[in-house]
Amino acid sequence: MIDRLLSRLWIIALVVSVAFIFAGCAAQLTGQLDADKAKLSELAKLRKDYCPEGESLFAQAEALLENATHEIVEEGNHKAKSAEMLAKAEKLMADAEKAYNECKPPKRYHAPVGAISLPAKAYAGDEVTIDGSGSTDADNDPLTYEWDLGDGTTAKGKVVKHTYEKEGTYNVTLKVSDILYDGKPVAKSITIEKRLPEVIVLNEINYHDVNFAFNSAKLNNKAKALLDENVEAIKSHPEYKVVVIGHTDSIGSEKYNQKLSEKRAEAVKNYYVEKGVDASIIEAIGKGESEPVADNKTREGRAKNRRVVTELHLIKK
Amino acid sequence: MRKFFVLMLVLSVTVVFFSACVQLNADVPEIKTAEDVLSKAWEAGAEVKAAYEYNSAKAYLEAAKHEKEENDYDAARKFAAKAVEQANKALEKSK
Repeated sequence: MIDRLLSRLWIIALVVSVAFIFAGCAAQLTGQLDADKAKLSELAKLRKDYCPEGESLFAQAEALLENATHEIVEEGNHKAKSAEMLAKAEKLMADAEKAYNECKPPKRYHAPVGAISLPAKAYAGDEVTIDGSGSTDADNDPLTYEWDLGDGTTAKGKVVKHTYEKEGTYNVTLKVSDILYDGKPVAKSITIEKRLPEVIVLNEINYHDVNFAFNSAKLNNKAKALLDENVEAIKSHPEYKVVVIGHTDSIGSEKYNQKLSEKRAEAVKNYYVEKGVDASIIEAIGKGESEPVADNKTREGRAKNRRVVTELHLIKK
Repeated sequence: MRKFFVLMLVLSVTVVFFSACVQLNADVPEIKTAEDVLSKAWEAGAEVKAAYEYNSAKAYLEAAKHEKEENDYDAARKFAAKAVEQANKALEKSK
């Protein structure tokens, strides 16, 4: 009886030992799989797309490890075949690492060259377009754009829209990069000026200056002197267009005064054109007696109302 | 006797049913698709222009075929689908 018991114990011990060996192997393979996956992640950092040999080996190792994961983790297959797969993947990874380290970029790879296009000056509060589209890469690689806008802000992208809040001169810097190289930074400055007023009112001419005779728009020398000053102001403000507005007093019919105010505005416009101002930027309009600035019941008031006003209006972009 | 015939009938139907299932599961059409796309990618120069994607597709295709031989059709389909995906990327990159 003791003999029988002992023989059975021996068999049980054998079965338990074999089970432990299998469990040990399973743990070892799973651990090795995890280590190989970590190795692959590290190897991915070395990848270079201009190295076909390295890329080929990396791709094979990656697929093989995924296959091994399926066998070991999903199928619970811990046989020699799985161990063989891991060993093969490790060899592939080692070869891939060697290939990447030995790979040199082909001579055709060139660094990109940045180019900046922006207005020489702009106004505070206005949106400015800063364009890097002129940047080039001899290999036609896709580029990334990094901007330093000179006022403490940075931006990314080929074309940037930015608003400078304060006047001053700002140095705009652009760095373009492709997958291999960073181009040399390029810089260009922009001057930001104080925001321009919407409307500037220039010298006005009225009865005392012009002495418009009845149904006449003839200018005397005093009027011309005032208008000459206006011409200088017009020429020094190219951002503006000119609006000449003729007004009358209330003597006469509305229709008559409307026509008269238009004639006087036109006379002033013609004077500006004679003095070299571009006619296309001048608008001459008559407002008749519709906008008096003084009482038409008095002589002085009527004199003040008989006037031609010149305004500069900022051209909206 | 009657019970015997009924039992044989049920058994036959079961065998036929499972055979059909096995036959259905034996088909992995993605393998053929992957082969076709890979062939086009090779013609477009993907071996050099898209080395990673091309070789990845090849490796997954091989794994799919191996799993099919082992009658693991789910795994075969999974790897074949990856092969198709990578082959398409390789072809796109090589254009």
